[in-house]
Formats: sequence, structure tokens, C-alpha cells
Amino acid sequence: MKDFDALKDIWTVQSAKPKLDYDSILKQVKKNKASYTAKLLTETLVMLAIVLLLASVWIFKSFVLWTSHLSLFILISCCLYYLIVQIRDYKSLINNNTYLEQPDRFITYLKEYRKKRYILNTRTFTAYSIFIGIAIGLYFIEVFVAAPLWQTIAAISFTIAWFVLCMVLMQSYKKKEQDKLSEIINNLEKLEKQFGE
Amino acid sequence: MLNKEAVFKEIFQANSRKIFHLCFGYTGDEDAANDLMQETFMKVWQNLDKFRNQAMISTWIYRIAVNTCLSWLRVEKRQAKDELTDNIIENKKEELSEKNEQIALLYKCISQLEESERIIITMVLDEVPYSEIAEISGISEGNLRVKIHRIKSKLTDIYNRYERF
Repeated sequence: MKDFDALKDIWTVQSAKPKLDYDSILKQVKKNKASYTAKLLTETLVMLAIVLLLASVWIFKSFVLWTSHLSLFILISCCLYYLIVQIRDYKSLINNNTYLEQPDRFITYLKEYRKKRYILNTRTFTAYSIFIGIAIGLYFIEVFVAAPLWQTIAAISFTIAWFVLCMVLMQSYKKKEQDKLSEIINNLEKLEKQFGE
Repeated sequence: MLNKEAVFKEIFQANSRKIFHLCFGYTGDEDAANDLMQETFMKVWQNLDKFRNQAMISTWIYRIAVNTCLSWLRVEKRQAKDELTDNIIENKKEELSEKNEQIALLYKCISQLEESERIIITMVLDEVPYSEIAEISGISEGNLRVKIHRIKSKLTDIYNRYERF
């Protein structure tokens, strides 16, 4: 039979030591910052290139139907929206001070953050996919007017297939995310209760 | 920058061992503990300028560590952790000295406490003052004393139950 002081003696002589030194942590900090900045920069540049490409198509190509103008407007708006979300996320990540909060407040923040990410990954992404689908569909109206029938049919088939694929993938993704989110929220609520007691 | 690195080095050397114990106690897994400790000190580095005027820097570091542990996703790793701890206890007995065996058993017992209890008891074992533990965990000192008393007897019971077998 051991009392708590005996357990404390065991604890005091333990040799469990971290495998890391401060130097490797500093290297990791720099590496993470560089890779995250590079990722964000690449995504921003790719999106900007797409926006410029779409804008130049809009300016230099003369479209007959208003549906094509609307299509390009929707596509450019979607790209800009994506860009804004990415930059906003990056900024909130680097300015995040919630790790300095007391645990119960931090857990509340985590719950809200996970819910927001869930909405972004499911509802917002569904709306985003639908808008792009509509834009492509609208663009193909002009293709229908100008191009041969087989090309129009191929374009419409592609659009429908794209829609179906997005919906099927989204359904399974949504379910997985929902299950995971429920589990995380339950765990966080349990923790919140422990710290609130 | 060099000054910042020197300050960070000093902070790391003064606190890393205790933070590692906290992470190890929370996860029961040495690799996960190293990951969480690394994450904690990365956040310390990022917030170092805000810390400069704080009297109790260890309180802030502990709070980051606690929050980092709380946000750790245990769902997929729980099984792995249990297997690992059992492995240490049952399969590698010959490699362990009696002392190491007792330490491994102690970590196994800590892993059976509730999350908040694991955090509090590792700080108690590392002799963090009660006022600081209260500040870190956001629990009033009076409440904390009651909690600690309960956790101590719970941990002792679990340990003695294992040691009997």
C-alpha cells in the first residue's frame, strides 16, 4: 500500500524527458511559417490568375447572350469569395490569442470554431459548388447557340455529371464531418463541465 | 531576434520538463507528449512579445499547454495509447527497472483519471503552487483544494489496486 507521498517520490525520480530541444522547436516554427505562407501565397496567386483570365475573357470576347455575362460574373465572385475566406482564416489564425484564455473560455471558443468550420465545409461549400454549376450551365447556353449539337450535349452532360459528383461526394463528406463534429462537441462539453465544476 | 531567441532558450530550459510531464500525463503517450510540447512552445514563441511584461511566465506557458492538450483529438488515438501503455507494463517488463516500472504504472493510473484531473495532478506532482494551478485552470483556490484532495485519493486507490495484482 502506497500513500500519495510515495507516489510523489516515484514521480520525482522519473527520467521521462522531452526528446526535443529549443533549437529544433525554433527550426519547426520557421519551417511551419514558411510552408504556410508559401501555401497561402500559391493559392492566392492561382486564384488571382484565374480571376484575371476570366476577366480578360469577359473584356476581350464579345458574348451574344446576357447569360454568359452573368456566368462570368458568378465565377469571378466565387473565386474572390474563396480568396477572401482564405485570407480571413489565415489572419485569424496568426492573430489568435485564445490559447492564453482560461480553459473553460478556450473550450467555448473551440466549440464555436469547430461549428464555423463545419458550416464552411458543408453548407458554404455546397452553395459554392451550386453557384459554379449554375455559372457553367449559363455559359453553355451560348455554346448551344454557337456550337454544334453534339458539343452542346457533351457540355450539358459534363455539367450534370459534375453536379451529381459534387452532391454524392458532399453527402458522404457531410455525414463523416457531422459524426466527427458531434463527437468533438460532446468531448468539449464534457471538458467544459469538468472545469466548471 | 537574437535576444528573443536567448529569452526563448531560457524559458524553454526552465519549463520544458514540467510541460512535458503535463503532456505525458494527459496523453499517456510519449510521442504525443513530445508533439504537444512542441506545439506549446511554438505558441510560446509566437506570443513571446506579449509575455515580456508578465510576472508569472510559467502560468502563461502552463495555460497554453493545458489548452493545447484540451484541443488534442484523442478519439482516434485512445486505443493506440492504451495499447502502448499496456505494452510498457506487460510486454517489456524485462527491459524496465523496478523504478521505471513504477513510473510507467503511475502514468497508466493518471491516464485513467478525468481530463481535468490529469492536468491538475501532474501539476501537483511537479509541485506547482496551488495559487498558480488555480490561476491556470480557472478554478477558485477553495474549490481546487477540495478537488486535489479527491484526485489524490482517487489516484492512490487506482495505483494500489494495480500494485496488488
